[in-house]
Amino acid sequence: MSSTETTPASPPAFEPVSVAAANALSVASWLVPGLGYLLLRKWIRGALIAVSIFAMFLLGLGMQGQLFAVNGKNLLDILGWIGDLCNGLPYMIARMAGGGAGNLYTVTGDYGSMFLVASGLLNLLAAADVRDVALGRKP
Amino acid sequence: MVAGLSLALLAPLAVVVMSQFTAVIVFALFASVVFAITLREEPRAQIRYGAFCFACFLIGTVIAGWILYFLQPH
Repeated sequence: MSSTETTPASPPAFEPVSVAAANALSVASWLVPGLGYLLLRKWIRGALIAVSIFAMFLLGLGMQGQLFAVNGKNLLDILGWIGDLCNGLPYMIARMAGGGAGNLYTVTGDYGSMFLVASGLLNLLAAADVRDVALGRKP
Repeated sequence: MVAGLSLALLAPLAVVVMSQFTAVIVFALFASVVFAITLREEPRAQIRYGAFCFACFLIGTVIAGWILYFLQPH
């Protein structure tokens, strides 16, 4: 065997999907944290992501954090709203239920707001990763 | 109906009170899990990277806390 010959790569666990399907999985992962991995049969990853994102989101609400609304006047509010929106359906449900009013008089309220924004941004990171996994760029 | 159902789901959510350090630990734990899963490929590398991120969060917070302690006016 020549030294330049390489061993064949191990076959992927599943067939990569089309770009449209990968985008759909990414959107599903955005709407429901962890769902994209579960649809790709990555059970442990999906469960860990779902638990992490949901726990951060619920802890943020429990700490009386603020869910930002659309506000074109303040740049920080806009960025906070984008971060919150990345939580997907949990954000929409919490807003419809009147949650996330925030409490300016407690320290934990400020922490809660950061938990809510951070969980959204982490969910966005996971959704992007789901797309890579679905396209076969990552095992 | 959706709003009512949502309210019923959120109603049992008690007010969570935790210390600043506990909040840091919880934040670091969940963020490290997501970082490890999304930024590393192999399970062993994911565990190593998650532990590294967790340690960085905690050590960075302690260092920042001491810096702020010495910067505050006495």
